[in-house]
Amino acid sequence: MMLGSLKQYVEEKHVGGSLRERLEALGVDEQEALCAILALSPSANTLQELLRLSVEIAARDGVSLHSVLSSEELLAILEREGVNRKEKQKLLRALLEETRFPEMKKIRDSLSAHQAQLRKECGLRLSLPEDLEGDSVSLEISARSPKDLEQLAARIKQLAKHPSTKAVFDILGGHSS
Amino acid sequence: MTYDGRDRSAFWPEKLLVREESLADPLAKRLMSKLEGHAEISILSEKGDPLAADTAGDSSDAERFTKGKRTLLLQRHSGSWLKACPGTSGHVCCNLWIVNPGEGCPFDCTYCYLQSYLKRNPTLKLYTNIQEMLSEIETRASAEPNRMFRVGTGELIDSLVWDDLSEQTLELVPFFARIPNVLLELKSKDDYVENLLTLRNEHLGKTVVSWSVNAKSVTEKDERSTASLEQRIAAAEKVVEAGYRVGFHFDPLVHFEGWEDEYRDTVQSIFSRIPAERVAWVSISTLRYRSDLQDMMLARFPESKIPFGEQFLAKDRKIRYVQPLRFRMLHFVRDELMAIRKELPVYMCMESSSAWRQITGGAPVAGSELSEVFSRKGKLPIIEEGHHL
Ligand code: SF4
Repeated sequence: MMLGSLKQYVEEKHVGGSLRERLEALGVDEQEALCAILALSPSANTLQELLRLSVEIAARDGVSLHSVLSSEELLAILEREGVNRKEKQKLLRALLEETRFPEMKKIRDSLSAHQAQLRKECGLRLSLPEDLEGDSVSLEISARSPKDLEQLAARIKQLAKHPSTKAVFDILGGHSS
Repeated sequence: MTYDGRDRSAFWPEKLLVREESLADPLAKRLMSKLEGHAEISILSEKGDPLAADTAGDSSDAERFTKGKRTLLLQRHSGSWLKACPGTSGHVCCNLWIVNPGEGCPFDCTYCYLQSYLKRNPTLKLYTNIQEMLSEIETRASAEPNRMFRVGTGELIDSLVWDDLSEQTLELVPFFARIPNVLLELKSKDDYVENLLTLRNEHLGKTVVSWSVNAKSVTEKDERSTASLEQRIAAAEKVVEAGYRVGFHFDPLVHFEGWEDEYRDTVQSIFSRIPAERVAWVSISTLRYRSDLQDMMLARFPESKIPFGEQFLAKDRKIRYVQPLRFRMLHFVRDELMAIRKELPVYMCMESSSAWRQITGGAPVAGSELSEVFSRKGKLPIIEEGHHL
């Protein structure tokens, strides 16, 4: 049996297929916990993704789906003031992804920190390969004059020697975490 | 030789189906006689896989696949046998040739790709006309006498799992010993090597017996019905004693809490008993699979943690670990192996040239310890004392 607000969501968003089956299979306490998320009016795709991540976390950790959906961190996001519904959905997704893929999160955080360092100290933005797959990084530079180029060349030289650049290559190559 | 290991009848088929065309083939006769009283034996005249999606009613892929694990169909294979390993574009290929003496496996590993590859035709199969397979290999090898053919039988089937019933290795091993430019690789998670042991004077170093190995906890939890790591190593020890070289495939490396310690232990357990110089090659590769396998794993192994690891769906629709993590795992296991013996031929399976650059410093080069694996010319295998080609 579906709770009223879940039923309403399913009808309003014309939810069908596997998501509908999944929602219908939820226990009452799981539906109750989910209703707090439904209040953010996520799209069916977003809800499916949030639910998938939650189900996987519950299965991995051997806990109930209800306990994942009503974790303190998750409720804190739902109750946060001054943040709109879209932003809250993004935060929820980030939280669940981080919980589901802690190692990947550590890698991405570490890479972002080094990229930020390079931006700050060398003024250049180092781009990583898509999906972090491959061993080359790229730099986009633009110059308005030969003088600009000379200055950029000096900054690139500085970037090449910067420990964060080595750290980025080391992480991508699996030499460090 | 008598086998004093596991109760093999636990994974023997409950149903043996034999196609009419195979009835007179020696392999079919042997299996029918050995399975009499154990399996329900029937003759099959209809074509197709009896558990195929369109013939087996409305049961799910997962249910049919599980049922298929206990049904063995004996039939003749039509079409060509010998194929170059399909590899993957953009990946460094190890030049393995593949023949399939059958397909499907009664063992049940959570991550087994056959669950998606064979989900539409899940009945286990053994081909009864393997004489034709051997003739095709001989014709191909003699047409290119300067090329070395490393031929594996363990792509769609475990090379040893049926050997107590089929005795196929008694034909395969002497055949490969007779043809100068072929080398047989048997690949298994089983420990049944009794037939191989009777061939100690006949294999002439032309058969490498290899085992897929893993961390102990992966083997215990996610490789149902297979021999334990300890049993596989014991079997490897026996064939080494009978003069064979052996191979090990760390496949798939799985990421979990404590993976480093467990993979280190596996390396140590192997090499505390197997002399490194008797190892023809070791491969390493990390967990990766097509996205549809995820659903099969979830349906068939609800208690397994493997589907909930750090692997993610990449843009190419393959599920794998993010590169920095994947490379870290490959580095780690390779370093552990190289610490045992610097010259150990360790290669990476299904990895890009970028992985080779990062992890080994470059793609394999001619004349290196990996020549036998990667060179098309190859070098002839090391022949044991007293064995002659
Ligand atoms: S032993 Fe190999 S073929 Fe058999 S189930 Fe396991 S992975 Fe699949």
